[in-house]
Amino acid sequence: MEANISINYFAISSELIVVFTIIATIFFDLLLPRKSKFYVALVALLGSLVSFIPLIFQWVNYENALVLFEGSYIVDKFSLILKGLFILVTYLTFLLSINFIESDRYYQGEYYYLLLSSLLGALVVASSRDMLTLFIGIELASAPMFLLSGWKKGDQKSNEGAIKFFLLGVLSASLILYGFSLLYGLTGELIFSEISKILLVKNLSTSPAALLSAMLILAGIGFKISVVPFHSWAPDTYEGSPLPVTAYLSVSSKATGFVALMIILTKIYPESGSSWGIVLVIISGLTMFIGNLSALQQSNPVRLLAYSSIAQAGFILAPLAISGISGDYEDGIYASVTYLIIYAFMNLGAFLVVNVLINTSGSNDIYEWGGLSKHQPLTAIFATVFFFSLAGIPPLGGWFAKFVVFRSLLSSGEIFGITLAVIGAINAVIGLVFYARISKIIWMDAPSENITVTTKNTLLSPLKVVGFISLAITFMAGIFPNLFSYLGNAASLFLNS
Amino acid sequence: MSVQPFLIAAAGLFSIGIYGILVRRNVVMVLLSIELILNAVNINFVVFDAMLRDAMLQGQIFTIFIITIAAAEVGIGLAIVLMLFRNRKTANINEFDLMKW
Repeated sequence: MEANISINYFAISSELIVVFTIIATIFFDLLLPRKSKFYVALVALLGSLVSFIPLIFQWVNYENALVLFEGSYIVDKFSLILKGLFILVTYLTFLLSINFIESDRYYQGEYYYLLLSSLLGALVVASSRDMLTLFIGIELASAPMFLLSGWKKGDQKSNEGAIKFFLLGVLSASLILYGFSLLYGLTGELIFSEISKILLVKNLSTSPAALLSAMLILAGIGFKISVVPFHSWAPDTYEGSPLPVTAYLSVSSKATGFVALMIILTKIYPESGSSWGIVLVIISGLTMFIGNLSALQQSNPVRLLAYSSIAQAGFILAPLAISGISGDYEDGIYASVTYLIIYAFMNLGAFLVVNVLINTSGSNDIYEWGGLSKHQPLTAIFATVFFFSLAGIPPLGGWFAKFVVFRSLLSSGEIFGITLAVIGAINAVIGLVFYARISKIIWMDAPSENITVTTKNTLLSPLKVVGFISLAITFMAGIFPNLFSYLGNAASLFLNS
Repeated sequence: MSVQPFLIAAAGLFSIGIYGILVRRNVVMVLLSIELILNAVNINFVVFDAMLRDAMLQGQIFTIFIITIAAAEVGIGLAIVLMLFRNRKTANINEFDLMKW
């Protein structure tokens, strides 16, 4: 066979820039003397910023989806939005990390190398349209995170979180693979569009083998997005990891899993929506309840945010689940991705606040954070905004996200949609209890005697930048929700390509 | 050629692997169980590739990728296990219980 390969380098330029940055970070780490390793961080920051630029040109140039590598890889507006999200989140995580990594004995250049590798995996997932590419993307996104979650080598909690994350992560990957192997056996194809065509033509969409593969893939990705009953690793791993890594795990890793789930469900199984839809409805409802009820009892801020992010995953999943039952994928994907994007920035902000307050008070117990607003007024304002946004208070971004989800659930007219909307409304109230409790403690409670507040400046300037960017996006999303109409068009293009 | 025996063998390996993950207490044995599952997947891909007479050998190519990734993952896993063993002097999963709820 004569191979005739011509590669459109412009279409994959932001991935290529990330690859070059990865190589550059590892080289700089090798060559620089121990004192000036700071430059590794600068290279990583610069590289992730530069990799954002091609996305803008691609956005302007590609009105329709561009198919690369014989259908395996697609560049469309939907994937560009998600890539932009991944790059921005990684950039903010770098800013969160700089001082954190430096403040420990753990300051090492590989940190940036691993985080950038994970970013590359996420970028590949957003564009992938065949099983092999998608699987490599998922693995590339999650394998570096196993190592990063165990970054604090001497800390037993970090070790324990890492081994739990690793074992369940690899198990989930093998479940996904078993599902893929069944699909390959059924259809003899790896590319999603071909698979769904053959499933439709041979009338296999609801055959037991196809549904078994769908459930195996669902279970596997369920681990990645930490929905109930696959959530048990998340609080432990989040608690053990360094805080910037936790922020990245709860935002970017989760988003990668959701993107993979959306691509698989709508590109391979669009015809069997009524089967996986009901499973997702149950998972989504359970996730909201168990996440929120567990978060209520937490006094450790990181575990609280871990359970809160589990509950938020239930909200992200809900419109997708209902779209399977009603068949209106466009609205479901639009609502899920809108929630995902707004959630990403408010959650990053929440982790920033927790990071600063733990450093200020030296305490891992939120009930000892009384009166911290006097020492950290700006952080207290951040805390109020981000936690109220997570709870869904207008005019913050979290309100618009919840609004879109509820609109999608109710407009479907399905009985399941209305049930999920009721469950969601109950959970929004439960969530408000623990989100508002933190603000109340910081602003109103008397200072605790068990802690000694550090006089050092803990809200360093890179952290301030993260705070203000997240703040700006959270407010913009709430006040100018029209911005998200682009996403609606992108979602319809995504489905029709 | 009947593919059923091969598929049943692969499903058996898959089940043994899941059983091992649930029951085995030693981390290294759990890692081995995960390898069993991945090899079940490999058998599936190769058998389906042969059954379908795929001209592009997609199943076999997928298998090679899985073998490579499995090797990388075991590398990561053993590094984490080694780190744990240094700090705890044990590789028993039941004793990793610092964090609950």
